[in-house]
Amino acid sequence: MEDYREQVKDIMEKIISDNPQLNKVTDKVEARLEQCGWSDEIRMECNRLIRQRGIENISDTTELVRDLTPFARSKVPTELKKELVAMLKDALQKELEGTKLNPK
Amino acid sequence: MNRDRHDRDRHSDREHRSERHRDRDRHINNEHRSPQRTVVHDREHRERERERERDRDRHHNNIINNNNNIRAGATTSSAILKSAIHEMTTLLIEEEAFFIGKETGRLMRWGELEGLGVLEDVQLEHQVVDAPGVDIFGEPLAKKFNFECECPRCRRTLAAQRFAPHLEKCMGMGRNSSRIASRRLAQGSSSQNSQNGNGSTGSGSQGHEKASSHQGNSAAGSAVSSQSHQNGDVASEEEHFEEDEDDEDWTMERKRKHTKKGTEKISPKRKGPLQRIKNSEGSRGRRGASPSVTDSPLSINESSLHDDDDFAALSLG
Repeated sequence: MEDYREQVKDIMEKIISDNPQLNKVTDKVEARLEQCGWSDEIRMECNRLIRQRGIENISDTTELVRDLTPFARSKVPTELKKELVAMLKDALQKELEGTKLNPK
Repeated sequence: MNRDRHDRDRHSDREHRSERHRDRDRHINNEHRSPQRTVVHDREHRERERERERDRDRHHNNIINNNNNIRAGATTSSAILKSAIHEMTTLLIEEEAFFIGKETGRLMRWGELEGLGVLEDVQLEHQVVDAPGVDIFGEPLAKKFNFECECPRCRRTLAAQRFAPHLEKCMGMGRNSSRIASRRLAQGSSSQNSQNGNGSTGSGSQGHEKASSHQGNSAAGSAVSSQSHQNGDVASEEEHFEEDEDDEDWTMERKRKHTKKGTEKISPKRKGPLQRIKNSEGSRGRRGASPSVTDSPLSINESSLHDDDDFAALSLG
């Protein structure tokens, strides 16, 4: 499953870099996340994690990000998720016709 | 040929159908038949029915399988799309969280989190407030007017709009303050000169004394201030600071701007140092004092010609 995920990631990154329309979609996604207050919530959670652990104990920010990611995923509102899905569906449908993806 | 075949087939079908009808009728009308014959017919009938059912089932299964095959093809592509969309959304969200985490980590390394009040070491009252509808000090975002400020030097309460100009003068900084200071210096120096003049020439004329005394009185208020200024004691000068004086000086430019073209400029109420000296010396001249340095030789002659005797002397040659 992880291999498949990696495969999808690589393809997605390639698609995003090549396709300017998808870049616009990613920009829109960022703007919407900022607008609905998700970014502020994540920042506050980040600050709370730092306070909890202490600055001296945090050697690398990747640890912080690793703990932050599940919280970030859970905090996205469902309406925004639907919006994202709708935005991405149109953009990805055409792109995926030429790619080889086998969900196993 | 074909037609014959077709006809033959049709005929055979008709015969088959008629046999079936006969069987049906016989089955229905079993009473007049013999028992052995009915049993045989029943068995055959049942077998035929079973075969028909099997055929029907096979046909039905074929249809279902075909449909399933079509659906299976569709689900693979939609599954791919779904999984791709899911991965994409998680990717985007994780990226955003990653950037925010990195930014916060950078602030932490640079020590800015303490200033932001994120850590508990900072006192609660000094911590930055991060809430909607409120600024970083915790004050509501609605605009406030009519602020009053207290000057830290003279402890006066002032309106916010007047605070900056007042502070400019109170602290002795800015253009106007330097003008005021130079004026006071000039007043002080002129009073000193007048005092020195009295000492060197002796008693002098009354007008001169009066003028000097007048000057001295006028400069009395500022003499102390000028001396203190010369001594370098700015605080005492500021104790005698009067706002009205400096407001006039400051607003003089506005008055000049408002004058109409072609008309004479309004003479300022405050006179500069040279003007005062001239006026004082002019007043001395009217009282029959000795001619001043500023008076030109022509003017002296003109004044002397006002006497009739002299004029007559000149005209006679």
